[in-house]
Amino acid sequence: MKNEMSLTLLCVPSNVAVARIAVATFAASLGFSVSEIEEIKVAVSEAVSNSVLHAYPHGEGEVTVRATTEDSEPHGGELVVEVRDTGAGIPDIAKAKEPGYSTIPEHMGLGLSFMESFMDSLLVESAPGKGTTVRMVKRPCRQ
Amino acid sequence: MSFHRSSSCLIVKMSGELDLSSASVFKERVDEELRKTGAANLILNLQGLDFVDSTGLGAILGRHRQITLGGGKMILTSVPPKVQSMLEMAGLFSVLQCERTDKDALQVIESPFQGGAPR
Repeated sequence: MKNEMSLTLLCVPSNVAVARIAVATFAASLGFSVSEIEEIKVAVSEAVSNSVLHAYPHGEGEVTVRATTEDSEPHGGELVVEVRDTGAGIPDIAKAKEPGYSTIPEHMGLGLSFMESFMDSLLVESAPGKGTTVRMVKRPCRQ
Repeated sequence: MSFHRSSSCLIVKMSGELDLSSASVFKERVDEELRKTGAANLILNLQGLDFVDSTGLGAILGRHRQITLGGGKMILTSVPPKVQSMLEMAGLFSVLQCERTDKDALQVIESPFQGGAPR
């Protein structure tokens, strides 16, 4: 059975937790282990934090978190998470993916690295002024 | 988050989640307590920490930089397994010292051979 959730949030720090808890709760039906759910929470937290920190430097904006699960083949048991904003965009995605690269003091520049490590796949689509969409896929290991 | 002072050391017991929303409160409260107490060394007890992401790790690393720049020592204690794996992934085990208990950390800090700054 297919299932889908979509959550549109104001880009404020307190909504980072709202997004990760919602996706973790949604993903629980797929039989992920506790540590896999923790990994999903970190990945969502990183993606939404990036939108909050970078998307709307001059005002308010929204981030939409969409998650889908599919029980039947060919994508059975797969969680797909999309985090999308319509903000500033990333000028250089390859540079942003470099571990340790950050434009903000006291930030580690590991957000995209963590998303890549904790999920099975990561796709970042972005262009300056056109926003950013992060698409992540994860399957439960024990399947 | 709760604070306790022991000789030259500020002990911070962390609880809840350390992310973009809470990292700024964590930084402000720890920095303020360090100023108020004049403690040169810092122990972060992470036993009650349920969640940390890269923003939270950055805030922890920032306190480490601040303490070591002042000649002090910062030690993490009671690190939960999931926080430990995040520290490993971020390559922070080579930078941040971890001890099992606050008592172990205090012994390290008070040791004349490997200790932190007295004050």
